Amino acid sequence: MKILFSILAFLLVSHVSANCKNGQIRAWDKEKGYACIQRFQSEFVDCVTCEGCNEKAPAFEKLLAGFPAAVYQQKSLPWWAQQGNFHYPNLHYPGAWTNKGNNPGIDAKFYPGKGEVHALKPNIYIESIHREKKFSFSFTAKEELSFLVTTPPLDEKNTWKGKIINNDRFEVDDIHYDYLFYDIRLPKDKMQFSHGLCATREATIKWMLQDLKEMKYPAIALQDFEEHWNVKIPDFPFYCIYPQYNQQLDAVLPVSISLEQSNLNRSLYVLIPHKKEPDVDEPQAIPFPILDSADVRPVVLIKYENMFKEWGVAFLGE
Amino acid sequence: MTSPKGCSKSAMIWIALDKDDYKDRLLLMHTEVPIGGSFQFYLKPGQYQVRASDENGCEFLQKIKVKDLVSTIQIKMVKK
Repeated sequence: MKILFSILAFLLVSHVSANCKNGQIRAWDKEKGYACIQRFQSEFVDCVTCEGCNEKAPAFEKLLAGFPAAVYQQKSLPWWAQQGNFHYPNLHYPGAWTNKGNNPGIDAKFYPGKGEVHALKPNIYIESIHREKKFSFSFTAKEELSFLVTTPPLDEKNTWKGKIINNDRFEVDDIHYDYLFYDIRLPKDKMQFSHGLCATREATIKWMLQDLKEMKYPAIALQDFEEHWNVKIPDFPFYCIYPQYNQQLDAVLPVSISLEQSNLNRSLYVLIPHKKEPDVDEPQAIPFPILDSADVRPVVLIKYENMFKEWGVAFLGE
Repeated sequence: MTSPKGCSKSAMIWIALDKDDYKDRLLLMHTEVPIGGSFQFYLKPGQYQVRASDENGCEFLQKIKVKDLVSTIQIKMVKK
């Protein structure tokens, strides 16, 4: 009984200490883990070009970081990013972007539909025990949905129909896809903005990857996530992350899968960029996160025959 | 819409504003599509460029004019 009480007390203290109080920011660093702070403290950096500079000293590449993308290219960019840089000035942004005012984000005037949350590249992967199995995946919301792109195209009932092939691929209309994909605009009022954390850009990407790993996303999903978002998350020094999981996404964008013994794990990370150190003394359009996102994260313990895994990153834009 | 025959590998499809000046040619969205595959995008009225490119440098460009309030355009990637 004493041991049980000690374990319960430990768990309670752990849970309580993972949350922060009002007037604090829940921050994360790969080395130090979580902390409750009132403002970020940057180390002094003697930058030549300090736009997005968050390293200790300017290396050769950083000196060129302020040049237009067509002139300067970072090493080890994926092939599509190297090509994209030649044609588009905003390749390293998730879409049309605006830095006006205090709320940098998607420039929504270029996109149809409605919804302040631009959910970009939700990709859906599959891990199945079946080498071949029919499935259908439907977006079942009664309201009109503001899709921006889908691959492959949805049918008139907002459904993908096809087969799971070789355990981990989709076949639709006789073509194999590594994943199903869509961009969509969603309403902000259905999202949660209390659970999450703030971190540097680099730590933000590391944290999201770690979060997906802990939810047992397959290796191809992690690889695609890292490759894509290393390029597409804009070079702001700090971000606050507000994860949306099944609880939030099933409410705003419900889906139905026609396959028995299936489970869908959903993750959408809403990112708010910050041009300078987040500080609780400065008013924010979206309050800083103070609660542990693990409290709203789905528990992934049971392995179903067919595990669908969805990840995406979202930015605000009005 | 069907792509012209060309690329042999899966292609990245880029949708951007149709502007000659690099700095105005805003990229709106992009997606990777297997050869033979299809994708669907939704656009406001305006003039756009659809570019496809693959890892080997195969590339094609098509310009489209969207007139309706919200248009759904499907593109099927044709095999070489």
